[in-house]
Amino acid sequence: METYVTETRDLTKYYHDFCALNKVNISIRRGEIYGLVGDNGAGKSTFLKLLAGQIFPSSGELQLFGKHQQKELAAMRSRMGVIIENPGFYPNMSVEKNLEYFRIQKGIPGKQAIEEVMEITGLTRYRKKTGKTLSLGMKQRLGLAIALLGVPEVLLLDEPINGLDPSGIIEMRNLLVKLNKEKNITILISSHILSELEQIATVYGFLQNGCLLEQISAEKLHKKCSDYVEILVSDPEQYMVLLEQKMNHNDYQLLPDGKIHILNAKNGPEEFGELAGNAGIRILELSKCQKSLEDYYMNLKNGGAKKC
Amino acid sequence: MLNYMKSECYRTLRGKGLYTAIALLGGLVLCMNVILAVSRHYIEGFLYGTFRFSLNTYTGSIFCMIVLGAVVPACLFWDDRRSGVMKNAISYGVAREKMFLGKCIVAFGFTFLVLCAVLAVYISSAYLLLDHPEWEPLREMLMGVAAVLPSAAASLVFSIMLGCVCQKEMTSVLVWAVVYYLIPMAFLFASLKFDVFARIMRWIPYGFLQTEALVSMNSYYCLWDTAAGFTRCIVSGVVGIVIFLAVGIWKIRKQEF
Repeated sequence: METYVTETRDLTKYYHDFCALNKVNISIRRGEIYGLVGDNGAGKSTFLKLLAGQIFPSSGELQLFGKHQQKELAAMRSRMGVIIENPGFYPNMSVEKNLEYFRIQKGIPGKQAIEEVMEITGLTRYRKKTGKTLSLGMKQRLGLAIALLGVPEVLLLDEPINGLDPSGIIEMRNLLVKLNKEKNITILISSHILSELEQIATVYGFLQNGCLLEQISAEKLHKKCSDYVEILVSDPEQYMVLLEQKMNHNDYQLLPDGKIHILNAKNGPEEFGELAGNAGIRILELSKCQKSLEDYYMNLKNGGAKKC
Repeated sequence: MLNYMKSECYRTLRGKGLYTAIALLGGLVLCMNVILAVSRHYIEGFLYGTFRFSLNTYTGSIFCMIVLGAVVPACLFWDDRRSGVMKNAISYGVAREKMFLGKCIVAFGFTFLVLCAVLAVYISSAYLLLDHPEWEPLREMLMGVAAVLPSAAASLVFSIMLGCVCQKEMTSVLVWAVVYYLIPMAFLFASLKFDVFARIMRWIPYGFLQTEALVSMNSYYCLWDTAAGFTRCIVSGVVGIVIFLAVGIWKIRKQEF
């Protein structure tokens, strides 16, 4: 069995003169939950569409399950389930009939497959409702149900929690983790909501302006998101001078709200508090924090802006 | 491709489009025959309440078969692109050209079914309601249907191709109209002056149906009554099918969704 379900080498996509994806190299191992992170227009949907075969690359190579020839890729795609942008279904057909339509198209024997996916996605009691009468969250679930028909080995999900209410987000998250753990389904999920990705992804890929800034495992990312000390004082400018002169520490950030983040601190928060106290600077807040995925991403973006 | 065709058959049979088309078109022809019958009954000297007139009306305007060859599949498939269902099929690994061919085959099957159903209503209502039912106009009509069927199929393939590649339905309608009406009409006018256009028009459906299928109360001349004319109709249609299939496959292979 292939180790990598998908690999890309210098994958590039141009829309006329606009470079949507620029020499992207992404490798996704079997069993991973790969979180693709990026702003609007970063190239996430473009990347997913290339994998799904909806658009063609301008250059570079794309492999699915170890195959890269055009005809072989089409056969490999039958092992994937996809939701990109809007889930595609017939608005005038019921949930049940839509699923039956796709079941026949995918060549899946037995109507039991429909009952299973409806149960997994919580659509059983909505089976007779037509597509156009479903709420946005229900439409997302129907899209997921269609993608799950035939138990795919890989799921490509483009912002699947868009439009879901908080309980829907939790359900979707739990479902994806369950599918990954119990059925060993590899999941590639793109999202803006970093806090949600943080809870399920095992690998991250950060995209900006069509470039891959970094591909990193969740474990390594957690180590990189190191602790920092956050301090709010009455005189931030004087405090920063003291930091550099007295403690010889210049790895810090002054935020717009006046807080100072002291990064890669070897000393504990008490010592930074003492520094302020000894200089007669009043301490308003002092705490030890950990950098979030959002902070990491923002730093990466600002650094990556120069590369792309 | 077979699974794709099965799914399209499933959807069509469970949708309303097919039955609406049969009901509307069947209702239309039934209505026409009823009006003729009622007029025959109530208007003195009304000459048009005959089986021959009713069937000749269709035979004389048989270009409508080509129009319906485009309209019926449009009603069945034009929602596909907008609803995002085509991209699902591609994402699952259905090859673009197989999707296109599958649509053509399924559309032809169902459009032929609509044609048979509507003709059955047309002929039977004319036979039951109108005067002087006779074999000859029926034979002429059925010969015309057989002769124009390949051209109608070509129109169907073209319509499906436009549905797959054009973003908007209006664009598809306009392109179809340009290819099937405007260009042939221009050629028809040009043929009055230049012989080469007259020779081209003999092979284009709009051309030979306008100039070589002349049916009225007092006269009848249709090219398909001769072996050469019938063959020309068939060849024109088959060439149209081949050309539009080839262009359709070429276009859809490059189509991005």
